[in-house]
Amino acid sequence: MKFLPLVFLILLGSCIKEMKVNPEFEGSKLVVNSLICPDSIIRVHVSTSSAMGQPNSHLDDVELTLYENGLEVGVFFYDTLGWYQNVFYPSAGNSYKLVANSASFGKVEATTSIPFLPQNLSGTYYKISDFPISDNGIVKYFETETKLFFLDDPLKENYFELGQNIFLYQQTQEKDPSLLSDGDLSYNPRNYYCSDALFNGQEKTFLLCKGGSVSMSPFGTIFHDDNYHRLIKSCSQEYYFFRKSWTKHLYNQNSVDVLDDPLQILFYGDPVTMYSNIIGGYGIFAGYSQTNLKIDYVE
Amino acid sequence: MWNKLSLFLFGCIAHVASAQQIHIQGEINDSISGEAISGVSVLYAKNDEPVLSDANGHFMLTFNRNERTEGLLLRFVALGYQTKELALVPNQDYYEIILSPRTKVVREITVKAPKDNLSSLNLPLALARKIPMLGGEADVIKAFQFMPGVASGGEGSSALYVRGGSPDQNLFLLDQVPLYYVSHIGGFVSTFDPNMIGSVQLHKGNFPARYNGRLSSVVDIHMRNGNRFETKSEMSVGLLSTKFQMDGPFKKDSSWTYLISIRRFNFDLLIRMLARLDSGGNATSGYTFYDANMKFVKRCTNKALVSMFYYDGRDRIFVRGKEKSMNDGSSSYSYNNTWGNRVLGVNYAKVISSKLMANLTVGSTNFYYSTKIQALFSPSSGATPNKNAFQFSSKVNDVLAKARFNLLIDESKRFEFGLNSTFHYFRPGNLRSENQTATIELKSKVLSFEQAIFGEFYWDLSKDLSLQIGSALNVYFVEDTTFIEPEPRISLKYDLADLGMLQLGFSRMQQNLHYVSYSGSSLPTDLWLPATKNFRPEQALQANLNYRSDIRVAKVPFELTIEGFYKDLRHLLDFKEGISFYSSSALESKLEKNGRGKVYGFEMMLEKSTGKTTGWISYTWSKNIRQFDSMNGGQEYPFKYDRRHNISLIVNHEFSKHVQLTASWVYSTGNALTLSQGYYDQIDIVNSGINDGIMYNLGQAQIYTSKNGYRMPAYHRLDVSIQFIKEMSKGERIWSFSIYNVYNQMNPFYLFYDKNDQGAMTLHQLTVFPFIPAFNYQFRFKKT
Repeated sequence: MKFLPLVFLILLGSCIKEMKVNPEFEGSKLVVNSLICPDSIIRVHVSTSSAMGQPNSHLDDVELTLYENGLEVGVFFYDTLGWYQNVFYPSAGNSYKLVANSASFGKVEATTSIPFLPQNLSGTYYKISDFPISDNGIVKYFETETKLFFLDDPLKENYFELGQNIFLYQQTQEKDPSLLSDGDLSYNPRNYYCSDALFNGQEKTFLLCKGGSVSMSPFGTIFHDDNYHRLIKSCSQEYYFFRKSWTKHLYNQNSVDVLDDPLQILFYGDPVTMYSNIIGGYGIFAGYSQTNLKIDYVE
Repeated sequence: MWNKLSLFLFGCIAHVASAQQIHIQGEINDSISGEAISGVSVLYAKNDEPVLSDANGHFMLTFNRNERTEGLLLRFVALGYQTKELALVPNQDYYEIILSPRTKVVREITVKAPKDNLSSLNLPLALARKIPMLGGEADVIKAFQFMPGVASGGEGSSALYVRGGSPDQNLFLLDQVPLYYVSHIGGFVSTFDPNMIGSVQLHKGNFPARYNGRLSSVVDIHMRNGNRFETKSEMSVGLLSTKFQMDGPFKKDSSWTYLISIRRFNFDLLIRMLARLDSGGNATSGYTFYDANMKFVKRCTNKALVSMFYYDGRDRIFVRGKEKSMNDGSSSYSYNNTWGNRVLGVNYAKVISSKLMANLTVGSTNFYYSTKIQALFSPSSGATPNKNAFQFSSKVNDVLAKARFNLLIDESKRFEFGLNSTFHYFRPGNLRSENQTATIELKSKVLSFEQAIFGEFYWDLSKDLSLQIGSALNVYFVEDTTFIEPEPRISLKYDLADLGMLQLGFSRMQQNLHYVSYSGSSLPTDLWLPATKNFRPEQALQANLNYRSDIRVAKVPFELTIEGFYKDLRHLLDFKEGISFYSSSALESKLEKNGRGKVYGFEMMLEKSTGKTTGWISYTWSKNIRQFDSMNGGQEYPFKYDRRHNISLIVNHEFSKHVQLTASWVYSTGNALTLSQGYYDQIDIVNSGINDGIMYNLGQAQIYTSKNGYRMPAYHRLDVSIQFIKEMSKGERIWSFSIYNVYNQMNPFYLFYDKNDQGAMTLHQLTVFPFIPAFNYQFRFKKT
């Protein structure tokens, strides 16, 4: 609606035609994708990059090798649609290297590690509004806030990803300094993420909007969930870079049908190159640890 | 270093001594309207280089006392006017010169580049008003886009990119008061109604010291003062707009004149009707804009002029509607987007003595922008309505005072000095989001004060060599920070006699405002921000070498201009890569600072301004580079509007005094942009279940060219317009017909990927302005 003049001009006089020339393509490369954590066996997807307009292909004949702290572990077997599996559970505190060798596309490799979850991790949530903030005629709801506590490891750079319990537009209410400075909230990330740059080696208290539910019946009785769960991840640097880059990259895809979305023409930012740690190819190989933290209600 | 240099410059100026002189001043006015004529060449026996009259029609001459001036013949030459000669008489030092137009049709003036600056462009208004434009709407600002060193942002846009600078780096002055936003309809029409304009001058380099505050150019626009002798009115109706204008004296022989002009965009009249029909009367929408100009001028004595003017221009996009919902409730929605400028100014020009002229201006300028979206659901049960509202607004308010003095020291020296003071009040990006559960409000406010003291010395070192040296000392207070920066300017001009004229110039400019925008669309979602400690003022250093010569090709006279320039830009600001304008985080977190820019190139122009066929051809070769530490991996990249070649051709032919044809052709290298060259599968987690419950999704990541590494196809277009002028019993009727993009060149407005007929994803282009005819009816009423 807001771009009415442009839409009118387009309706009145525009025309669309296919261009004869596409940008020159650099040639197909091997694409390897795998996100690893101690909760799962390792799954790897292998495909190739393609020129725009050309189909990409999954590869089923790639030789994959995984190293844990320099030693080869497990055996990969092909599943389907480019997916390979290794019945091996990685563990926190170790480093991993993945090598993919294709007869057609050569050899690529990537390394990552799986960090430990932070120490003394706990969380609480509580009511913050003095008065009910909505009224649907039956039940009234209170605003809530969540506090997460942990001790940051001072010996290395740490990265975190936190699940969201809010709608995207409510990100404006976040006030934690790390999220504000590092969380790329402008790009509407699906999860929160940040580094420990502002609290390295310290006890960290995250303040997060929402979480759980506190309500009041029409008769004034207060109800609340005893607890709720929030996903907490401790991430490798590769995972953190991937998450930041993917968030921005998704926000600015320029291959969608723009006429359905005039915003795409006028107001989306410039494209952002996608991060990859696959040497010689594309994709991501990154580790993380996660837990679904129980967060109790406190008065 | 700059501080020392600045002190040195002021020191030089202070040492200039005055000798025993005779000073002659005067003003030059039009015989029909009585309005001042700027740019008239004042010649006399000794001076082979003319003195030009200023925007108020004033000129100043100096002679040695021992020179014999009695009976000296002055010659006043301006294209479109009959040349006039006047002999000086004893004991008279002020003259009013009246020039008569040469024909009835060509009333407007055309002047050459001014004496002091070969890097300036004077727009030939008579021709500019005839250049065919989109929708048939004449546009003097767009006319500059046909000149060397000036490029447009995109198809139909009125934004000016001067020597690689961005549109915010152009200082638009309307009777000395700056305007922040100079476009309507997202940049397709400029805010300046051509009928209101008396003179327009664009400085691309060798900036006089009196101009400061922007990096790349100064567009100095003077409104007309109004007819002194009779009341005139004019009305025109076109596809795009309807205009009415009236000017004249308050009463016969009054010392007051007035000028009023109103312009309204017509498009919403049609759109409102269509929207109502389409929605069964439940919804309406539209887009409209208006400009209103008023000016009142009082001639206090022969030597003083007071003028007051007001400009108000506003754009508005609106959508409103209501509907019944299925569960017996009703909902309504509205969208309102408004932006505009209000400018108020008072100017006092006074000839204080035979050696000194003063020009004082006080004024205010206000730019505002607001988007408001609201949706309201009212349940039939009578319960509290459910409201969702979002509002974004930004605002800039300036109050300013300017004083400029022109001191004639002797026959070869002139000193211009004064000060420019501006108080800025910014509200950059206020956000309010409101729904049933919460109201979020983000507000920001910044106050700043800008003070520039300037002095500039014009010195004819010899018959052939002249020097212009000066500086402004820019003092800028914002929050708890003060920036003090000199802005030195120097230029040396050498007269090669019959071979032409050569000028070498150097200037340093500072801009205490930042402007950040998306995609060059020129919609005012772009923001003005004050420079602060975190975002330092932008700076530019420019060096240029100019050559100008009058030449003859097959006995036909032409003016040839060739210029080379190098510009270094610092402390530029831009949005971070991929950031969203409408996201809710703090504005500062979205900005990339300390950018650098490098622009260099050369320009040439061949102009014919006499005879029945007039016009010009211009060519610009330039390279335009940007670099930010956190963008493109810190590597240099081409600016979006980096265009290697720009060619413009304008031809106007007068078949008779009743029929005139104007054609324009432009060619430019395509814009630079970042585009996908390929893609690959990118893993993502869709469910982070514990214990083997993790589920993956495969998205698509794009492989981009390097930043702005792809070139759009070259842009070219031919436009033609024809005017039929007829004298009627009650006035003069003008029919104008124009065709935009005569040979229907499918120039790309935007590129995107989409599936073709065979289902393959290929690159497509969107063309928004193919062959577009337009007409305009104009009637100039005779004396009322």
